[in-house]
Amino acid sequence: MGFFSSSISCVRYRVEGRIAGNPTDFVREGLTRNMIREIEDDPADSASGWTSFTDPYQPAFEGDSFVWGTFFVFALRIDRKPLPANLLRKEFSRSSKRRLSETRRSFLSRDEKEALREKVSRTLLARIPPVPHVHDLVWDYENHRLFFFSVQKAANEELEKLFRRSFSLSLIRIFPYTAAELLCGLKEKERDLLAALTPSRLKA
Amino acid sequence: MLDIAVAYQRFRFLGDEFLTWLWHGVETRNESLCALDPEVKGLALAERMVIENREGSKEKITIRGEDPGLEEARIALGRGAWVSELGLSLRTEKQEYRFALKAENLNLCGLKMEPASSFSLEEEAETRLLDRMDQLIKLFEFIDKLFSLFLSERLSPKWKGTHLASLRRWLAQEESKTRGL
Repeated sequence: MGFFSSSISCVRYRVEGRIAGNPTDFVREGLTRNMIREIEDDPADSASGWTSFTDPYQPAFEGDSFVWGTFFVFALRIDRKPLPANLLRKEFSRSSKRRLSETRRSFLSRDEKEALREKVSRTLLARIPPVPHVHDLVWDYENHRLFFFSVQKAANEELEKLFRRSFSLSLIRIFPYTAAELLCGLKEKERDLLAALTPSRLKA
Repeated sequence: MLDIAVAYQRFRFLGDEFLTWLWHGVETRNESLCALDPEVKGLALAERMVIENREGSKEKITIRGEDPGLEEARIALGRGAWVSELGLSLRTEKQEYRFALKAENLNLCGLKMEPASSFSLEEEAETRLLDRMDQLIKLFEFIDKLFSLFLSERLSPKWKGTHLASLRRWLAQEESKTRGL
């Protein structure tokens, strides 16, 4: 769901590290280098990359189009091609029969079956249009934090991977322990207490 | 700092305890929680709560609806369960937020908020985004204040004798009421 949806969900991250040089230029380069690649007419089953917040189906990062106020605003797009197992089975069966008929043989070896299945899968994937999933994000560069508007596990994992690849910076997800460590201004003694903490019991 | 993956599992209980503490706080010291932020005018439970017992009976209770009866949830807490998701409604002078917090990861889910200012359809998306981000950041800052207060009490030597004891007393009272004693 997008940032402007009537109901939004959000995962927070702490951005570790700093960019040397001009941050806008650096981020533009990272975004452009890892922009979503179109996979229509391509046998790839999925693709992921950065895209524009305002026009996720025509990504472009010219100038400072991704700079909104003090934030960097863009989106992660993950395109997937759904290939139903039944469809693959049907096309594989047809191709197997055709191959047997062409070669006047009664069976295919395991390697031949595997190669044929791969070929059928690639042919089908090239014909299936990808389904795009767009996940907006806002990077508050000055305050080392990032807001990702998706709670999907796979999308968050992809974000963490792609962010590191694009900007050589780590994302630390905010969950109870990291919130305690990073957001609560604990002193050394409190950190020690936190590390030794064990669950409470509500039952007396 | 510990390894993130290890810490996620090792300190999972911290989120459960935070949301249970928060439910107790909303019901028993609402004003002092709201006073953590001068802009906050009201904090209340909203229409969703999930209670989980990950030990023994491994029960999970989901309570939905406007003004839900929470007796069942309190009884489950008395049996050793914790709040794993809490729906909240937060009111400031300019805004009302409704959302759910997840104990496991502190994710903010299903957030509904009105625009703080009214924008025309032609209004720049940037203005709308900055306005919404401002509201969202304020909400997170309040959640962080609540979490910090919880953590300071949790790490205090008075946790067991004062804060946890108060939570237990509250549960016991509610249980007595439910049984009509």
